[in-house]
Amino acid sequence: MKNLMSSYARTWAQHTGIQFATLSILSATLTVVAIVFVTSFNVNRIMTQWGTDIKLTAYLENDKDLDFALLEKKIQGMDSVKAVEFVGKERALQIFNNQLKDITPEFLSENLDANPLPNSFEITLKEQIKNSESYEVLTKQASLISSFEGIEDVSYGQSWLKNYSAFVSGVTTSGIVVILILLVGSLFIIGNSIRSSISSRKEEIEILELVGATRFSIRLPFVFEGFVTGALTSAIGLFICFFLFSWAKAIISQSAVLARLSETMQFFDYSFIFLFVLGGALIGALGSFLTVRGINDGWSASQGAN
Amino acid sequence: MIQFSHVYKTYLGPVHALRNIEFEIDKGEFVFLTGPSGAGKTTLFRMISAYDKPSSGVVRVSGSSIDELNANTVAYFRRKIGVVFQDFKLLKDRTLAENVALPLTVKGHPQKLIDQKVNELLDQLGLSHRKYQYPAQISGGEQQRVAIARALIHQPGVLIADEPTGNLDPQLSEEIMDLLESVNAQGTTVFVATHDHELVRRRAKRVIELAGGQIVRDSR
Ligand SMILES: Nc1ncnc2c1ncn2[C@@H]1O[C@H](COP(=O)(O)OP(=O)(O)O)[C@@H](O)[C@H]1O
Ligand SMILES: [Mg+2]
Repeated sequence: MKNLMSSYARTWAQHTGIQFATLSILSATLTVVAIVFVTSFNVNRIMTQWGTDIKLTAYLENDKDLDFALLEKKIQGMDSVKAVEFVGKERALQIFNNQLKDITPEFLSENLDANPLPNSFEITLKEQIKNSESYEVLTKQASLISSFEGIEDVSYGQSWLKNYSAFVSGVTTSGIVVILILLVGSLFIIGNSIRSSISSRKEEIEILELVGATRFSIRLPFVFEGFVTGALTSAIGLFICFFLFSWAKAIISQSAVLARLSETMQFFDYSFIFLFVLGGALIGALGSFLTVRGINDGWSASQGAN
Repeated sequence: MIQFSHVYKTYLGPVHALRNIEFEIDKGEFVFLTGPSGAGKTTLFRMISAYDKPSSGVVRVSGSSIDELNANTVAYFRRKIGVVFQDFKLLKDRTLAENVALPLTVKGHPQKLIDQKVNELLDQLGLSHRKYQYPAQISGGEQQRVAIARALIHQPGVLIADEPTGNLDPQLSEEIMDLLESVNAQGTTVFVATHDHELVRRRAKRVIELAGGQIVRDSR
């Protein structure tokens, strides 16, 4: 460990400029990765909170002597259904009037001769809409219910739900793509910095091979260097991301419209922070391992001579 | 200890650096390898230290066939030999003591044991007062003595030295040769390459002479 640390210190002494450049670029990259993570995490969080309790409305056929109780039982018995509530046509009219009263009081339908509204069930599903997959589940349930005897039609705000779930999946997918691209880039950046460390220590590697150092012990300091660089930069990235996040949250909480949103916003928990730093460290170690594997195979002295 | 049979080495070109080399050096021998520049001395030594493999033929050193070593086993092979070069190959950013200790450090010996052995050896070579200095602070002759100390610290069965006096003046060259002879007197097999005929003539040792990649004389 002492040797590994002193080897890392020597790299800093020999390549202060390159080390700084590598550290800043990687920190910036990992800041972006952290921001993408925290954004998609919070979008998902907010969306699932808002998107709870997807309600379907099943309109019943009119003019028919339907056994409402039996139908309600049948719907209630479905696996995906959380709750069913019968809304009789009189109540539907009442609700309709109540809503209309606020908007256009002149058009109150109290004076209508016949109630044009159908009886219906308000059905709440257990499933919450998080992505396009659960949207498919929803449409399946809807078409199943609409095939029941006595059901005229099922409505569930089809189009906005579709957009909504597509949006949530879109955020997640593009987040993953961006993160993958940045992580592959990080591998190259670390690999490059390790390459410069190696080239300035070519002579040292030769001498170590000469005195019988194993391949493993020659490579280890460089892999360690990548590990430390990865851990350090992902920690810095998280740090910067945390400040940006707190800043954004403060701004949002000041806005009258979005204040409630800021209560839902949350930074990563400790276990995710640990995983993020560990992930950065492993990527750094991998980047440098891929590089030392290409450059040093235990015979570098024989290859470098002449 | 060292055994070459039907060894050829051909570099791209083709350059026939070694042709049908055949000789054997027993345990405890002191042997000179001579020949003009370009005769193939370094090529031959690179095979003994497993930096290169023969194009054909067999090289055996301390019980290992060089051809059969791979990237993992070569390290353990090198712990059985000591190698000295014309340009010393010391680590500039390590003290002399650290340089000498290197073969034991890579083996993971305890630091206390290492310190003790390094002190002993530097004492014998009259370099104890310099052990915390760096290579750039001492003379070429001293650097070569440090390099020899490094090649001996792990008590190898064989010490090979490729032009160890090539960078030194005649006076220092003699001192280095004396040192190598005393190393040999303690039981280590010593094999020295040099193009300095004077140096060889003054010591009554076995001489293998190379020319154009072939052995033209073996005084055995
Ligand atoms: N890596 C190499 N590639 C091509 N030719 C080489 C290589 N190394 C040595 N040679 C050639 O092999 C011959 C022997 O060289 P060398 O063993 O260095 O001789 P010496 O050490 O006796 O001066 C020379 O002609 C040299 O040019
Ligand atoms: Mg030579």
